[in-house]
Amino acid sequence: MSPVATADVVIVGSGVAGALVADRLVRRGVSVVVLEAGPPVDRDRAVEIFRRATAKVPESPYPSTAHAPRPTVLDIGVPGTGYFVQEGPEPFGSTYERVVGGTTWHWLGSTPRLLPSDFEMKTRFGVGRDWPLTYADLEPYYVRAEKEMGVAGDGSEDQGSPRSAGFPMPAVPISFLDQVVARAARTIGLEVLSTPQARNTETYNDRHHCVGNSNCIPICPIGAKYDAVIHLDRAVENGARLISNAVVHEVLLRADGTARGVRFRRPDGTDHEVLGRAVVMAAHAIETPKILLMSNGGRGIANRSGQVGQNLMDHPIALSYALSAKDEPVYPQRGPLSTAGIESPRESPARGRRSAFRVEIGNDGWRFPIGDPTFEFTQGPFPQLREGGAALAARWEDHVSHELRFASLTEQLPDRANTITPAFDMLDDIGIPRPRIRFSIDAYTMAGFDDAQALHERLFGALRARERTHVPFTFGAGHIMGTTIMGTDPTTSVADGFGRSHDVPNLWILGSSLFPTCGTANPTLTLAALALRTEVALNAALPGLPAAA
Amino acid sequence: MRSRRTDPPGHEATVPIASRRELLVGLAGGTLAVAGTDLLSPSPAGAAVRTGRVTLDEFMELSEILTDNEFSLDDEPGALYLASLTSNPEFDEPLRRLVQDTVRADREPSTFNDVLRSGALRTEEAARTAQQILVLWYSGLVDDRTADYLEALAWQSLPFAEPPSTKLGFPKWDEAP
Repeated sequence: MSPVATADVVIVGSGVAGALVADRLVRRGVSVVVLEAGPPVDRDRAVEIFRRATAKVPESPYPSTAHAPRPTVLDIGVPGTGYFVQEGPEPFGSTYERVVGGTTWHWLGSTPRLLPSDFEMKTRFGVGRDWPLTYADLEPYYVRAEKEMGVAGDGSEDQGSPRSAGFPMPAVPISFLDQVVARAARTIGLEVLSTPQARNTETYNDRHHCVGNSNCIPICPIGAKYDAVIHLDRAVENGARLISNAVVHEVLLRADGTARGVRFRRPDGTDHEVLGRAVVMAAHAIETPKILLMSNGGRGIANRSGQVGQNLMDHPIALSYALSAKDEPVYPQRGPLSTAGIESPRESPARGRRSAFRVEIGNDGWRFPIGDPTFEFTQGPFPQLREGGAALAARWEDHVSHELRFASLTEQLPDRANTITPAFDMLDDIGIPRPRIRFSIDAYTMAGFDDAQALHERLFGALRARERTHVPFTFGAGHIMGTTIMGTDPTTSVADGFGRSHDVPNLWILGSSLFPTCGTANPTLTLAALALRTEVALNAALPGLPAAA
Repeated sequence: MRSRRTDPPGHEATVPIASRRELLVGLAGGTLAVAGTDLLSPSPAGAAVRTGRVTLDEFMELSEILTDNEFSLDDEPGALYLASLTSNPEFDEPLRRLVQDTVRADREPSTFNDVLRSGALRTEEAARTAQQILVLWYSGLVDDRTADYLEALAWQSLPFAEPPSTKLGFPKWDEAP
């Protein structure tokens, strides 16, 4: 089979990690091919599709193609449906996109850093694992990632993560709703902090500032929120080659065990190859381990540890709703979906016995997870029988203007029993195994879930909130982590601290699949910082790698 | 989905939010009627009404009355809503009767409360039909499709908000509107 392309570096996946590395490498003069399983997305068309969708879930605007199917939240918990082969005991609740730009199309945009303690869970708390790098090692790359993505934040606030540089942009103003919550939180000793986020508060990199349309998930209609297409476009302008609708299903090995390139399948079922001196897996934490395990005739590669596809983690969400006090409307649906949170529970003194958590304050009222107000009108309680006219409109306005929502991200520990493996007996439409997932949430996480909802209840009390509801099950946060974890020991981890495979010396891995533990920070900024750190190491290693052939 | 062992202290659940997930499940399986008809238990058809079919103009007029003429209603989604109602035996006859008792009445009501006072919503069938008309206009959804998202009254009735995706947004959001 003659290759369709040859390059110094072959990158599998066009999300934020792959895009950042492609952009950096081509600017150094390195030749790069980026392969993406799905198609490109046109923003305006996606907005139209979103408007026409009956359920405004994160995946609504984006195509699910026959050749690159993806999970949706509509499938979760419905046995026998969807892309995932869910084997329980609990459904895995997070999803991702398989399109050019990856899941940055529908991410929230929040960019808190991990805490220094998040890197040392085993040493400090006796649970989980330590990272093979420290917060101090990653800090300069956090700074770079914030600059690349365009992060807005308030440098005067102590978020628990020491900073060597300010934020590139002034903070996104916290919403009126946040301010009401902040006043109440203060009465019970809690502080509300603005959330750093990758959305513009001024024109940055030729992109418009955010106008607070409350639609970051599923799609920012004006591109004020960072997405990976920004770096992909720049990489392509500088010479990178992007091949979309190319579903990589195998990493090719030479006889000496080094990676030779990748094999991908087109929508028409034909297979093709791209060769390189280095292969970079950046297909996120489900597809990356799946491809590694499918390689080498289904025997897997880079898996001396046996842990490729294991330790699947999320930040299971504890969700609570209420209405604010009758005399204190909060007016949600204004501003980005979340502009502030409560960070102190991330350093819980009970950590090691109970999960830490981060409280996200929603600006979208009761829209999570459905995304629009149709629920209240199609499933009650609006309108009541024989209710209508101006009275109905007034009751609805009064209801929405008082809607509060808290969502806490809890922390999951790495558990080898939580796995993603290729379902060789359950193929997609072009004959590629679908992801088989086994997943459970342990007592450590559920203890944090209980603590989070107890804190939500205290907040509701301080707010004199009405109609308090604590959802009795977890939701996926969309934070898929830990399936090719990094570490110093090749027998217990898949990659080293730079994302380089322990076993295949010219294979690198990018993304949150590297996380040994997950902390409580939304993962995108951390995986971006790790990717930038990997890029430096990869570039330095390139001269010593075998030629592409 | 996961069951919890205990509720937080001092808390009583009052709103069946758990059913939000059930909604998602139902949407995926096509087992829930998106426009809310599953809220409505099937009701007897009642005696046939000897009235002509409801025209779009009449339906729009009825819709405006039921919403107190507070909104500018578009007849394009209106036509879809009318078609949905008239194709559903649960609503077809009651809708004809409701139009007969309101839009075609000698003393036409001009507001929702006028309709109530006139007795046109006295029967369960009429009341549920009026409710369904409002569900359609507020949700913008009909028969598993979106008829009108941006103009759905659930958004249009909120003076402080914009339907997400308009690109208009707000000059600021850190103050009360």
